[in-house]
Amino acid sequence: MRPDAHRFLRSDWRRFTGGRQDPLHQLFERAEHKYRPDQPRVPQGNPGGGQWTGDNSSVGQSDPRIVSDAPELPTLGSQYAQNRTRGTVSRVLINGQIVEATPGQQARLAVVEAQARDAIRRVQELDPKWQPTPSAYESVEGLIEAYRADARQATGRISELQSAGIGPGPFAGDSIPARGPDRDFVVMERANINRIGSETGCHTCGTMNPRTPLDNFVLDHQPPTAWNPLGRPQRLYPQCLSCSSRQGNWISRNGGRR
Amino acid sequence: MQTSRVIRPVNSIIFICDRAGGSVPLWQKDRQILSTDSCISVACYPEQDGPTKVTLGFASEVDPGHQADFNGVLKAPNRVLTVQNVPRETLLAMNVTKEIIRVQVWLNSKKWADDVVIGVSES
Repeated sequence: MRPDAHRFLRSDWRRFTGGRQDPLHQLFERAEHKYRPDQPRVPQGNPGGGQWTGDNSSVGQSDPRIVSDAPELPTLGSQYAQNRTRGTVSRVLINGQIVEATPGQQARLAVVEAQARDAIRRVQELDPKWQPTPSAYESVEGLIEAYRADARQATGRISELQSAGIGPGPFAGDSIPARGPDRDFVVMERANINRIGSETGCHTCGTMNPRTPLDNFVLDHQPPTAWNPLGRPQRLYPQCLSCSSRQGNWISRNGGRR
Repeated sequence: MQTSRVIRPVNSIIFICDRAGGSVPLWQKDRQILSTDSCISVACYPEQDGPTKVTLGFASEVDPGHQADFNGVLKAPNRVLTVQNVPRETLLAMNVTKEIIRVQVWLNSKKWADDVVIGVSES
């Protein structure tokens, strides 16, 4: 039972229970008295002897299982003073200042930070120098929003790269391993890419039409040979001529590298 | 003096620019030739379907006798005009005497060109 359960009881709750033998009555009574029968007391002879004592779940202490995700105001000000009483407060460093975060803020910080880090990592696998534009913030809520903004920028960058043919596109289905960066494809590789293309289309735009004179899909290295800064192993995906041309243009415009 | 090469360029495109590169034009769907004042991109025959012959030389030497598909001026600050591929490898090159030159491009097909002729005029 949460320590502040008495707050949820109506003053006339007895009208709705079945008397002292009713387990519900007993439960509500314990909540109303703000103690449990098995709660320890201070031994006699000690200051406050006979009084109920805490056991990490007594009234006035927070239940660590309860994590608020309610929006909270910036950490400075009167609202912050209320937050402090609700639970354990942790400190974060913001612009060289130590700012305290509530458990709810800590939980949200951890989530958005992980999301942002993961999204940025996915971008940097294809574009190692990419960094999100930094956001200014002065509070824990501002820091949370900054992480969200980083994740949004990273997601946008991934979409931009995908639409330019950098990285397996949104329509990518099956693929085959590339023997190397060269384009000395053999008949079996061409046949496999055409088969995959006929099943899932261009991995970048999804079209089933390769838009080539002989209806052959382009065998597209991913990561592209001219844009594989980490030297990752490449795979071959079917791509239409239009997306291939766009990919080459984008790589050239962005200073293609090997 | 003219030079030719039969190639299967990656992404089926080549760039005509100074040896130091140029400002690559924005991609536009279904456009064979795109240009800025320092770079011309040309769509070649789809690489997986066949090769493309690319010829570079003075216009007076290479003019095939029909109207050019592109006719414009290009900056060549290093006075070396090149044909490059997407990984920025130089496929063909020729020296020129001026930093701004006239370039004409002739294609043998409006859709699937497998013969690209690039002519340079310095006057």
